[in-house]
Amino acid sequence: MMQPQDDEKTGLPGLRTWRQVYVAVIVVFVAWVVLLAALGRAFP
Amino acid sequence: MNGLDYAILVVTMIAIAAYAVWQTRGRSDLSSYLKGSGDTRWLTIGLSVMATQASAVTFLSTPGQGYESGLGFVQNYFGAPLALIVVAAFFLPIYRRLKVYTAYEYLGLRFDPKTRILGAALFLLQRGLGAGITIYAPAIVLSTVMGWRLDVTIICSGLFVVAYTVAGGCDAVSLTQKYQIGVIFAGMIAAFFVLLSKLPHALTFGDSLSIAGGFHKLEAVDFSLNMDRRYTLWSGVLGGMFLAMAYFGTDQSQVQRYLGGRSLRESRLGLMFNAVFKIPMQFFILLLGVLIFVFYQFERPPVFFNKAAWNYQVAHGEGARLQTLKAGFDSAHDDEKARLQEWMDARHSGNAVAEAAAREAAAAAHGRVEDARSQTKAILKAAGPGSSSNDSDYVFIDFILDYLPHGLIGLLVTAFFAAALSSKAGELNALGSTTTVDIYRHLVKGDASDAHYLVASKCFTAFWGLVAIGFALFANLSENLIQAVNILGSIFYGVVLGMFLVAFFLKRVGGTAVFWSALAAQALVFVLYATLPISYLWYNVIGCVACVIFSLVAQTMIGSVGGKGAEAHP
Repeated sequence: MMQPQDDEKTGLPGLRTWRQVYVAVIVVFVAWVVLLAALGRAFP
Repeated sequence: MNGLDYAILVVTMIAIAAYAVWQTRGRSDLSSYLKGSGDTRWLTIGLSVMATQASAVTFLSTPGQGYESGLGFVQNYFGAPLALIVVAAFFLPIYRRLKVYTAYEYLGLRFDPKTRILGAALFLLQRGLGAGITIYAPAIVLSTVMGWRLDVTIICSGLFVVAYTVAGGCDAVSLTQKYQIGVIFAGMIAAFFVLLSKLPHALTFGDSLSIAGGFHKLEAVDFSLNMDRRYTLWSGVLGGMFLAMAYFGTDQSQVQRYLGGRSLRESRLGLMFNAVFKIPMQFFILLLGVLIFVFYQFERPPVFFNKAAWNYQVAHGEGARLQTLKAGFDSAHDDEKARLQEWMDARHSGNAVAEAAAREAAAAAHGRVEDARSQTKAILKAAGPGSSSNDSDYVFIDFILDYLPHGLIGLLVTAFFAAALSSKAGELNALGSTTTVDIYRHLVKGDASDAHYLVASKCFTAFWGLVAIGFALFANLSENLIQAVNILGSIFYGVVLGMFLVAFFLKRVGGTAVFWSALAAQALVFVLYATLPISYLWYNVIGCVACVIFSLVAQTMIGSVGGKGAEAHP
């Protein structure tokens, strides 16, 4: 198996490829939107 | 402010700038001056990117937005994480591989010289004007409440930032930004906890949120499809994404921050740091404003937060009407406070019927409070210059000066100046670089030594600093300040982004097609901005899409690929 180049390594635990990092960022973003929407509904 | 506050302000600002210039001494080659020494780590890049974007306006004005309109403004930043992913995945690797000094250099490699100059010119135009706003905005607010002379505040803060930016270049800017943002976060977090301690003891955090929610301050996400509304989920995600993609991917003040990363990985992580923390940071600042709103439901606020403007009109002809309105305001506020207490008592006793009735009564009383405020604003607007009718920029600084202890006041004012200087330094650094690389070296003198360009870069940085100071001295803004900055950006950013997207993804389109298409798209945006009552965020989408479509059509009409260097990109 080919070793990824230095620039392709993320150095992040559990997120070994940049694709995984980007997906994680999107998940965090969606979580924020859901939480903010929920905040407005919890205190109408 | 007392001596302690001034000491904190002066010592902190000078110490950070002096440390950065001392640390970067001896780095006198052109590359490290313009791009940094190439060993910057991801945290410095991330904080530097954050500090460049978050100006003093962000920290002074955003709590006022939270106070007035609630959390809805956070939607403006919903596009940022998605945009930063696109920049990290597509823009950044190309910039690094081509080893460009500026983003517009890439346009020259991909298309032709005139397209490069157009991209650089649009940047210089909008960022040159924006640079004036970033120095004027905090100066007008701070000078008004502190009683400082506005011109002296602008000139002193302007010359200070020009001095260390010219002396240290890109590395000094990044280093100062790293420590300045530390001061900013320390100040904002301290203000948050002091604010919580100032709320009535019987009021729980849940009670505070209930009151804020009862006055519609927690409506953070608006799913409406109405394009007239300034902030909705859709304008935020789509318009905000285009705005953020243009800003982070094509604005030299940001590109310069991550070009000097030690590796592609460090630059990418710096961008992802912002993708994760941008929304929570803005939410926190807005929540601060919302909690100040709750605080002022129990503590009588000024009828108009720009006290200097109010006092001036009281003393110059409108005193009787304003004092009558203030009396009505105070009475309505006392009534509202009593109704709120009844609301909270009913809430704590679990009596839902009484809670609903008290809440309705509180809302009615709040309506009378807001009515008195609106009438006051109308009188001030009719009597004075436009800027004096908008007091939301003064909400946070008034709270700081009236309720925070000395020492902390100094820390917060230092934080505002740190934010002003950090974003200003990034802009000046980028304006100087772009003028040197894309205009001077490209058009005026192409065969000089690096030492010559280094001196030229310092001169252009100083020149733009003086232009910004001059603009700030003669500016008079009527919009909420942070919105003025965003509106200005949105008018230009879409088209610039369109040029880059064509460069990256439409390989058959050449320079001539994209050049004329960009001009046509920019003209279209000007016309639409003057005629359509839609949220400014949509102009990022319109400008970008128009540029891309016009380019495709123009290229089809031209019928052949123009430009040079098409092989330079993937």
